[in-house]
Amino acid sequence: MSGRSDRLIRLSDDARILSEQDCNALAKRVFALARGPGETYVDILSWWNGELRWARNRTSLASDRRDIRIQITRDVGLGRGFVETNQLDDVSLESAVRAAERGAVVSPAVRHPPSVHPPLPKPERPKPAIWSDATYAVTPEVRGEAARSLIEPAEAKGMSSAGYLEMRAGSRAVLSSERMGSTPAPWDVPYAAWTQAQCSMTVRDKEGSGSGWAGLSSYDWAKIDAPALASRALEKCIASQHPVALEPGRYTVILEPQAVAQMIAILEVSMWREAAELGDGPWALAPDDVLGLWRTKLGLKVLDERITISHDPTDPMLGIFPEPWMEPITWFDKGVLTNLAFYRDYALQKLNVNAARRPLIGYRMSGGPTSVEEMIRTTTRGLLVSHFSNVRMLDSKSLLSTGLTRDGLWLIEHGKISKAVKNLRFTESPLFALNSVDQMGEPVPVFRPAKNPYEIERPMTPAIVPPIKSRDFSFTATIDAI
Amino acid sequence: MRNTVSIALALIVLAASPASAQTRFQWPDTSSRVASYTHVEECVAANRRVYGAFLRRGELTEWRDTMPYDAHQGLEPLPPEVTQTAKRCAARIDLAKIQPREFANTMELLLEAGRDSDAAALVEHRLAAIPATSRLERGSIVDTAVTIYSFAKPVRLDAADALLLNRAKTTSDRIERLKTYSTMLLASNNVEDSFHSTRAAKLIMGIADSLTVAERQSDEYERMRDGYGGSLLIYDALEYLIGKKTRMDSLRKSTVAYGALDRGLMSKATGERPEALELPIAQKAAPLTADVWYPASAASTPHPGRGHASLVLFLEHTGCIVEPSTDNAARIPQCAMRLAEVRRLAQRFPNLEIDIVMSTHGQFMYSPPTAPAEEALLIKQLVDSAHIPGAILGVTTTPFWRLPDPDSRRIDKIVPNNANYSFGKTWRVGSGSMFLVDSDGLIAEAWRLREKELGELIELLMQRQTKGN
Repeated sequence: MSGRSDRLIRLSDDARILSEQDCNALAKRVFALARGPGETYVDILSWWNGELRWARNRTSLASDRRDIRIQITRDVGLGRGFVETNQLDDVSLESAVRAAERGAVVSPAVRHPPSVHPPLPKPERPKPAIWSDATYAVTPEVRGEAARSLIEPAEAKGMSSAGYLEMRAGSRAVLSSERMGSTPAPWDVPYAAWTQAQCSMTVRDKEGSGSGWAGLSSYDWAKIDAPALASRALEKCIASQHPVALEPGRYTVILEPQAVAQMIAILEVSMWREAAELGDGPWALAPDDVLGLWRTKLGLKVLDERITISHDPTDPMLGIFPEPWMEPITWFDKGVLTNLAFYRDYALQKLNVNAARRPLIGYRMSGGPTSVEEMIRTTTRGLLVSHFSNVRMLDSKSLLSTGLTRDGLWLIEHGKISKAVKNLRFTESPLFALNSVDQMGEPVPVFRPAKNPYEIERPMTPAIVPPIKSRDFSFTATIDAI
Repeated sequence: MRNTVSIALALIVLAASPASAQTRFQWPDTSSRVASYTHVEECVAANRRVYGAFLRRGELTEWRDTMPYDAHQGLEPLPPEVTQTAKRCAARIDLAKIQPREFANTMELLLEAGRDSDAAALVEHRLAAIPATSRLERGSIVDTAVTIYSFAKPVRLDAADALLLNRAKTTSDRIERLKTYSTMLLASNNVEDSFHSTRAAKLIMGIADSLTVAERQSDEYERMRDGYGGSLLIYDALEYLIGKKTRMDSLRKSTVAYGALDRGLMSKATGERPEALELPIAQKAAPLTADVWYPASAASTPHPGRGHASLVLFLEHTGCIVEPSTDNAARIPQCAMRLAEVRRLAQRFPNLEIDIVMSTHGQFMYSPPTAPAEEALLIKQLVDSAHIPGAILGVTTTPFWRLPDPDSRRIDKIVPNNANYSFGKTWRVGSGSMFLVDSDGLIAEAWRLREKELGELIELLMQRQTKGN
């Protein structure tokens, strides 16, 4: 028993995730347990998640969780076996390694390794800003006090608020027994640690006629002004009370940055080069019968010429998980499609370049000089949209999508907000909206939460987006929900 | 102290003993406990698990893709543990209560259990439940049953044959009948069953002689024979019917005669004039070109050389290594099989010249883009790993251009070797393409032969060479 407990890894409050030294030591313990020849991989993930959630002005959940997960892969002969565990004592680790070896023996996939092994290339990885001591230092008490300061103003106005504060930290390392202490292969993942903070708050009136939302995410809790978010959500709630129904149709819209980001999210999944070269998605142009391939829209103007969407991994506001060969990238340059994502495998074979291009994960969108107030002042008749929900794609070729406005929609008449409007369903393509731009404002960071538990393996992907005014945006139904 | 040393030595001996090594990766118990299974799907799944474990055990001890093709493998019975599991599970199934959706699984299970008569009764029962007027539905059931019979172990050609013939008789659609006979020819050829192959070939020719232009131009006809078209199916049938002896006699006489025979068969199959056909056999084999030869001395003589038979093998990097730039990189079985075939032929015929042709692609596996000379060296290592005695490797630098930025895709130009060894629209050279060239530099065979047949042809060419014919 003592043999088990003395090797247990216990994370203290000071060390809620594994350090690089911890990961290396754990990997070495696993590698030492392997029997016989064959490569062993470990994928070590440690994470901490501290959160506070509230509803109807009362805390509903306050938790502080952490865990370590290790995936062990053993290559035995031609087979490959996997086992995942969070039991890290010697006996459990040895059981896991044995199980992986048994799995390798019976695994149905037979791999005949190539007999030629050129020297491994040395991958270069940037060092983006994804770690914040301020986020890591947030205790449950600090979260409690912060939540109290967010709830009180809404409660004082007789409103009901719900929301959450979440702080995360994580570390990951994928190490191979063949390369411990030497140059990692492109498919290894050297140690990386990150933090995430996010704050989201919705305020509703007691009658259920008005709703306001505000939220922000960042790797750095110090960059999130939570009281300002609470104040904004409250203001929007008050302003959106007692909405009137408006006939669906085409309207000039002023999309706040969050709404613009939600429209661009539809683009994100389409930004793959191989799909375009197979004739799929919005970026395939036409088949070239002479060359026997699909031409793409790379190099063609596809968005309004004021729009540039790019990412620099060294941008302190836009840190994302460091991948090998991650260079600055511009997907749209003054409206021209200049890059689509591809893996290094594709780059080597199809382009003969040593590179990879990431999809539209972290990005900065260019803006303009016009404030939202100025956009409203110059609008004869239109709608101001806070943000969207339930956005989904209807057609992968045109990117025609649908979704609902939410938490505040207002009618603008003769340069002024005239009334709150009931929510509407839109049926529109972001390509159309981003080609019908009238005005653009200052880009600001938006709320990009981790959407599911699996995203704990990677930090969230930040975006900096401007508000835009766009013409002839199509709304197709009225929605009763606020 | 002495005792301690003895114990330590004993422990070392035990740790290194063969018994310890044998139990290291002890095979887990993969038998299925079928006692609680009540559905056919559960039984079939259990049987597949048992069979999968059996196959996996075999794969660990032999790499089938480096062994000669064994036509009789399809005639081997299932391993006893699979049959026993199927029998035990099938005994629990009430055939009277089988639903139509369970038909295919039940039939598969019955064949695995060796209950062929019950399987046949199941097919009849299923067909009897469908009105005679529902020809499409009946046809689908027959197709399903034939597929199951054809892929069963051992293959049940008689049963498949009876069903197919019955179906062919009941349909007036001649293209449909051709497809049916094609299935028969393929299944029987795979196990080298000459009785069924001959009959299928005769039935195919019975229709082929009277095909109309419209039938030959139909989409269904074009899609036959895995998309190569019905003409190739008819060619297969013709080739089978004239027999190996005739073909070999023709080649024994001369490659030109062999080519004329082949041209005649293809002319009959396609309806084209013989002289209009672009076929490789009996054509002059163009001299191979290369920027780098291995061994370097090979650069001083033409290849394929005169005065002896040669085997030319075309390979491509992407056709040999799958997912080359990831840790999942693996050899493509077809490529490994081809190289192993050539190695065995080279060992069997030491005087056969083996010319392996490859061209650069600008990169190799996970390496950053490499210069042609470096890539040629890596290609050499790939070919060397096949241990083909006396093989000559010629590597050509592939000229290319790029689509304009920002697309920048690399577009390879056709290298002379590939152009010279492609004939018409059909015979395009690709990874794994082989050409047997006689001592006069004429192509005696191309592409499609299995190792056994290729060996017979090489032997014949060698005999011709010895006789100075």
